[in-house]
Amino acid sequence: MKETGLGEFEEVILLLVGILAEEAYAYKLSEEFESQTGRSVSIGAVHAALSRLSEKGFLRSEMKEGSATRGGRRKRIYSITASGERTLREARDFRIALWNQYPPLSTGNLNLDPLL
Amino acid sequence: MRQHNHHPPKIAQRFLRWFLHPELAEEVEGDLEERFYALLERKSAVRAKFDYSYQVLHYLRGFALRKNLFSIINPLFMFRHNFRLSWRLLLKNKGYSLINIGGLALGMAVAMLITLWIKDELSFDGFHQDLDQLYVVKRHVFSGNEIQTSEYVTWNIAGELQDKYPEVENVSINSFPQQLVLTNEDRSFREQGLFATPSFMDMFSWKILEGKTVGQLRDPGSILISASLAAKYFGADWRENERAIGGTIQHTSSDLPPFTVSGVFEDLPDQSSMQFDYLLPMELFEKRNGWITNWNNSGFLIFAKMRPGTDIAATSARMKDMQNEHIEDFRSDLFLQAFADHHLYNVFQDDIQSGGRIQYIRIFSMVAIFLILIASINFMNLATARSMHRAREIGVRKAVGAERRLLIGQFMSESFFLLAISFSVALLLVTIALPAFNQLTDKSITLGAMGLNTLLIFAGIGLLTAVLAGTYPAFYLSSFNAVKVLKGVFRQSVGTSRLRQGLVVFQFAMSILLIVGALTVHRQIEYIRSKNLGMDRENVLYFRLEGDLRQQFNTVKAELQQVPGIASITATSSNPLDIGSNTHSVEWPGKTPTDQISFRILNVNFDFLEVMKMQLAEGRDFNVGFSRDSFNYLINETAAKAMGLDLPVDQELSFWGSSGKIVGVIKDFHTTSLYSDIEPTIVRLRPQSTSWMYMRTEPGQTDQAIAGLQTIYKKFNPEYPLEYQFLDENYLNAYRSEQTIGQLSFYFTLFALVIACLGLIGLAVFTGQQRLKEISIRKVMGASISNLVILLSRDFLLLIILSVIIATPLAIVFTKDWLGKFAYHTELGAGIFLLAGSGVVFIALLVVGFYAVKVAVINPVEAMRSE
Repeated sequence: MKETGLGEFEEVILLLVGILAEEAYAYKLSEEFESQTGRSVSIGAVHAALSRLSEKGFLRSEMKEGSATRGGRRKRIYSITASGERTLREARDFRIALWNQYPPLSTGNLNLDPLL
Repeated sequence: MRQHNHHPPKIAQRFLRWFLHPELAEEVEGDLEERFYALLERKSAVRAKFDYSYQVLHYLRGFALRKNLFSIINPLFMFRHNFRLSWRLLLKNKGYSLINIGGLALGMAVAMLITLWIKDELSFDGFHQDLDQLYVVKRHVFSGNEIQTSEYVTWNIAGELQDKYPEVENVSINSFPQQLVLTNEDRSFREQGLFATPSFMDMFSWKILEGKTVGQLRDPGSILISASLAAKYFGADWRENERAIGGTIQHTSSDLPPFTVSGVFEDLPDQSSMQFDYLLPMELFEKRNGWITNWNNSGFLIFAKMRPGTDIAATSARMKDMQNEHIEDFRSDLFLQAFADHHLYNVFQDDIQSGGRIQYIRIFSMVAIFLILIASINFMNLATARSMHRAREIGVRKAVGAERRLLIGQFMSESFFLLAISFSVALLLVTIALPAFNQLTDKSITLGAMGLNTLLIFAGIGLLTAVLAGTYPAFYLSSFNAVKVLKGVFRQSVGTSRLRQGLVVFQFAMSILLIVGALTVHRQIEYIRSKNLGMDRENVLYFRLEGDLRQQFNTVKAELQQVPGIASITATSSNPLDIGSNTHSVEWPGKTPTDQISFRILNVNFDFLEVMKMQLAEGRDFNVGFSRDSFNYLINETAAKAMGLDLPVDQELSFWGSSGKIVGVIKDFHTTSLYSDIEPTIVRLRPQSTSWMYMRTEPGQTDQAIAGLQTIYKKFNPEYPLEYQFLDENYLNAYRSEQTIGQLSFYFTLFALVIACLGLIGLAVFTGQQRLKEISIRKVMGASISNLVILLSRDFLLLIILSVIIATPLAIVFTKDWLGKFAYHTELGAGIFLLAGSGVVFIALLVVGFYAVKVAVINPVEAMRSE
């Protein structure tokens, strides 16, 4: 999608990292992904996307203490970097720019959620 | 912390730890565990565990893998490496590979075909559910100094077994095969079937397709027919139109009312030793044949179903004299043989089980093993012979750190690679050759019908070959000393070339054994073919004497004699070359009570001697002019000798309630197969007891004679199909299995020789290459081409001659044993062994010589230039 180098799945994950904030680690992200999109996803797939996004510099991560349900193991909490934030915005702006050129919308014939 | 009874599956966890990058271990295991316990709250433990494994598998992604994973799965890569190397070697040495693969494939293919044949033979009668409880009653008949074993026994045994032997669960009686002409409306054919008691249906697992499954063969007016017979008489759609059951079939030429079809059974498999297309109730036979309850008469197959756990040997011993207690003229010892052995172990010599088809199974198993051995030896020989070429490779591999284990692995995988290819080629060959093989062996084996276990046997054959052929080279090649090899001082030890020579000798010795075997069988078949049987079997044809033919024999005979091409006509009770009927109760002047002689009895009409072209030694033939002749006898020379009559003519003979004079002595003719001696035979003039018409045609006018016969036959016997046979063909048909063996052994021998020669070519080429420089120098020094060829061939020739010396005595023993089964057989002179030996030497010389010449004519400059 343009030169942002962000796939659709990656974009969603990136947004979810922002939404979950302190709880943004692979398992929770996969749960959130499922409840938000209704699509099932494996932790491995989410983890792979997270590691890709980290490599691109959109995410950073650190290990935090974990709860008892994970046998006391630590978890890797992700957070969005400035570059990640920028890329997300660019992706959104790009879409809106496209929407604005979409004929039914630009002539006002389409009832759209005002939020979009 | 809550306590949980369930934990993530151990295997999945262990697998995860094995492949996962250690840095990720903590977070990933934590995540997965969290999900697992969260899922456990909502769903079943099984679901949670399954999900855990699923999640683990989803971590098989590039980023998450352990970086040194490839070294863990290194053996797989070694395998790929070895595979690639083998493939390159195969392409590099095309000729060598072709010899190896071709030889092995041929050997394995033949071994597989033999396996199929053996499996088919061993599966005989296996479809009977209670096979292990079924036994055949057989008897050893003692007559004079001879003991004959027969499965046809006397009727009364069945009742005795049923009544007095508690260990016997059930007994069945069936007649020998009967050929009756059966008719339904306009359809009339001659069919083969049996009379049998109702228990015959219960004891054996014949499969009833239509009709009641119990109580068959009880109603004397009923008949059971096979599915193919049902289709023949009631149409292919007999099942749909429901015409078969309750339909009627008439026995032509009998006064019996038509039989009602009470059941249709599935066609018998080829692997059934009993073959019949219809079954008739024994009661019918019983009523019409008063003679059967006489203890002196035999002619039934009696089967006993024993209770599980019975001591068969004890029962067999107890029933031995059951018949002897009721008879005086001869001795007949009864015994039980397992029905499972009936097909393969049916030959007895002097009351001891002495073989049968099982012998051919043994022989061919040996042949299969021989062929595999010969091919494996090629493989080993070529591999070790070529070791010089590979010595440097092995040296370098060792020097850079390859362990011996790895080298063995490399060479084994090379062998397995070649073998896998040979195995596939062999399978292909089997598929191609199967139809021809079926035709040759008179079987109908299909690859489709082969079960898993056949495939397993094949795989076993392949594996056995691989181990046989691959192990030695692998261990031998990997044993080289790296330092010596790389220094260039490595030499092949004398031991290996000795071993190689030994193996070549072994190969050719086996080939010679096979050649002698094949030649012997061939000679014996030629002997059978050309044997003078004491009569002229050529230009004689015969057919059943039935219907009006029998009633108006003399009229028919007179008419037939008018036909050009027909020379003479008679009638007999059976084929004079295979007389079935016999008796021990012949009385003659001077007979002592100890004379227990079995006489074959043949009933004939006038002109018997003329049709058969038998010679009289003394006396005269039956004569129409002498009315007393219908009480008189002709005997053969053996009978005269057995009775001890110096002047047999005009002596009085009596048996079966009538007596008469011997009018003539026939020169001996063969009364049964060449496996047995000529037996004392009495020929009676009994036109009313004849059932076959024999006709001699003029040489070269057979077609004319048959055309005439057909016209006359149709006039008298329109309701009977005319089915004639030629006496000489029928005679040879009796030796069909011998002829099959002859042909099979010919092919097997050919293959063995081809494979052995392939190996020889390989070795010859190799030696030639090795001695290239030596030969070049010799050539420069002035050696002639013939000198060089002799030099190169000499070593091989010595080996072949050695194998001739080793194989000959073995061959003599084996062939003597096989021929010994025939009472009349060809004599093996030195010729056959000389032929086999010199043949092999010649072929080997041809093969080696060809390559020797090729090496000898090279330009020495070419070979020497490289240094």
